[in-house]
Amino acid sequence: MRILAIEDEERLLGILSRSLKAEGFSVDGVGTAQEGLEQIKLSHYDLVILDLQLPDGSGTSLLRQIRQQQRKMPVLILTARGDIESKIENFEAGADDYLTKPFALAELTIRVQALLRRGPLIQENVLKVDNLELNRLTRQVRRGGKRIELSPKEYSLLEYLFLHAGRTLSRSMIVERIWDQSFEGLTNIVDVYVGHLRHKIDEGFDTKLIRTVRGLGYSLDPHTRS
Amino acid sequence: MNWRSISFRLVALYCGLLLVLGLSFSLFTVFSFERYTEASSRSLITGRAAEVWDIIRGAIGNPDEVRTLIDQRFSPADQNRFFRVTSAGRTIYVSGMPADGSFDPAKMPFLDATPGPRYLNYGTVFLYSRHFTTPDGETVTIETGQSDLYSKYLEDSLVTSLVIGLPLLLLAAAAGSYVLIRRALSPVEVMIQVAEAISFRNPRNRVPLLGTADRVEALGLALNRMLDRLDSAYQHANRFSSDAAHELRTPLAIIQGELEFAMARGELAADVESALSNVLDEVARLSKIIDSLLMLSRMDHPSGQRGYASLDLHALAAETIDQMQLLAAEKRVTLKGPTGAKVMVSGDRDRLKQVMVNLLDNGIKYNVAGGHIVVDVSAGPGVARLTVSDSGIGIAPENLDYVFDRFYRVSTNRGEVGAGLGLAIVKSICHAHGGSISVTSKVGVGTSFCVTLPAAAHNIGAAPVSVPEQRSREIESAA
Repeated sequence: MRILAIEDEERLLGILSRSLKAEGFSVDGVGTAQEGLEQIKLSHYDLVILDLQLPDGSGTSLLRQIRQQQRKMPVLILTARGDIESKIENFEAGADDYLTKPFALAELTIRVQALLRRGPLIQENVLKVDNLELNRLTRQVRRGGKRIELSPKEYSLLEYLFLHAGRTLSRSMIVERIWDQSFEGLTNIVDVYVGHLRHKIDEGFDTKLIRTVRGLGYSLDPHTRS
Repeated sequence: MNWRSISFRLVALYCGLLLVLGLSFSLFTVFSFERYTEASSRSLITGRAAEVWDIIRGAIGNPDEVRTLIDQRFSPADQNRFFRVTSAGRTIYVSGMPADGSFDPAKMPFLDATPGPRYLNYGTVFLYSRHFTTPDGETVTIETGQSDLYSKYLEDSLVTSLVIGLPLLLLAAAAGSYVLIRRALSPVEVMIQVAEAISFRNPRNRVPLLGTADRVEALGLALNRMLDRLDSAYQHANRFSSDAAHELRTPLAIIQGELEFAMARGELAADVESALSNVLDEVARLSKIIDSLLMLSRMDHPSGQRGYASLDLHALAAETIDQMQLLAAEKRVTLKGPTGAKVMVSGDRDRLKQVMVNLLDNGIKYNVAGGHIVVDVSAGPGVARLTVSDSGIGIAPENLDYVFDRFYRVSTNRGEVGAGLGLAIVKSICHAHGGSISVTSKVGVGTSFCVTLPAAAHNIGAAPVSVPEQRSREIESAA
């Protein structure tokens, strides 16, 4: 899978390329809209990561040009502007996803995978991590065969962790997914809910499943707490 | 009535001036009238004495003829006139009782018998006496008199009409001048209305100019120039904070990316990993502050307003409370939801929810274990009210004025770390909705925030009610 990253900040481009390469993608990086357009004409890309502020024009107009040329690869927008108007404008111009700086690399990876439909495309209704089971049809959770009662919010949180098991989800990703925009900035609510969830799931088991990744967030990952 | 207003002072000055002029005019009129009536009576009775002498000089010896002559010529009783003719101490003639009974001719005093003409005011009668000498050398005294009842009556009427007329005139002048002044000041009224309506939602509005090329227009021009300068300064500050926030985001993205990448390798010493985690936590905090700043600068800007929809404040409060229940329970704080009917407002659902989230979060953070928060939603005439009252530690009166300021934090020992932007965001959302927020607090008892929003347009008239910002304070210290 080839990804083209158009980002004028060399360092950001560097870290983007490195982390996506570490995930197994092949990444090309350019610093201007002009170069980006030429690159797209020259070779085939499965996905474009596009910064909105480029030295030779806006990412939005580049996006329009790409779409006018009937190129249908998914485009993920990176921007320092997080307002609704900017989002709407770019979605209308043909963007597929939108990520506001600063972002977690984990989130970028998850979004890229989702756009390439290469991520953990969940077909099964019963998800398992270690001896923890989540049934998406009955919305029931069992650990070691024992039923665990969860509130709807706790269930959604656990399901989200399940869907990205093994990956770290940042607090802001969780807030955005489980709560709504109004709770932006109130990330301590995530800690409270994770605390409750952990109490119900990991209490009394030697293998802890919910892991706190300091500075980054949480992941569902079999490990032993020291 | 505003006693210090320009209109009132002008009307008062005008009426005062008119009163002085009116009083002088009235006094002068009455005085001249008195002078005129006295002079005319005097010439009348003086002339009559000479006339009487002319017709009776040949009949002095015959009192009956004298009576006939005088009664025929002057009919004294009918005309309220007085005549008396005496000679050598003997009364030859005296007129009869006047028709109006204003004097008794029989009781008229004799004027001093010196030879010259004399005048005397006796009661209601003005008297004149003059000595004439017959060819025989006999002295005849003729006295004439005129009742002044009629001229007194005229004078009274004059005074009465002045006493009634002057206040009426003043009243009319006051009303007239008030109307004229209001008309003259009406361009100022228009300016006031426009200037009041100018906010950062319509920063390009300006005071209308009438092209009258006078001081009022000069005032309008000065106001407009001031608004231009304010607008430009405000735009500048706003653009600055927005640009700064945007410019900070890219370096933050790089820092966060590099740190994450470094930590993902998983080969770090524990202390290095701990240090990197701390930096990541701080990056997350900085990022939150930037989000809040951008949010504030968007709310202040007209383009930051999104489509408003009609929504039930009551349901929104209940939903928010439900979502924050666990967060409150964690701090052993009880949340009590609103009761009552729907309260419809027109607004941005996410933003209004953010108001509630921030107020509740604040109430939870600064509460005491076992405390409570009561949320109430009510409707007033044209307004909807949301009150969030907590049983927390309260805010000291000297800090109350600043709680809505950006980056203001009451004290550093309140245990929680925030950027101090939560309440500033709440306030700017309220203002963007045409509403206001006020706070009351007692140290050790609790704090209550009251948000006032215009009721939804279909509940009231078409125009949104503008609610002036009020910051009520209740200053009492804990015992």
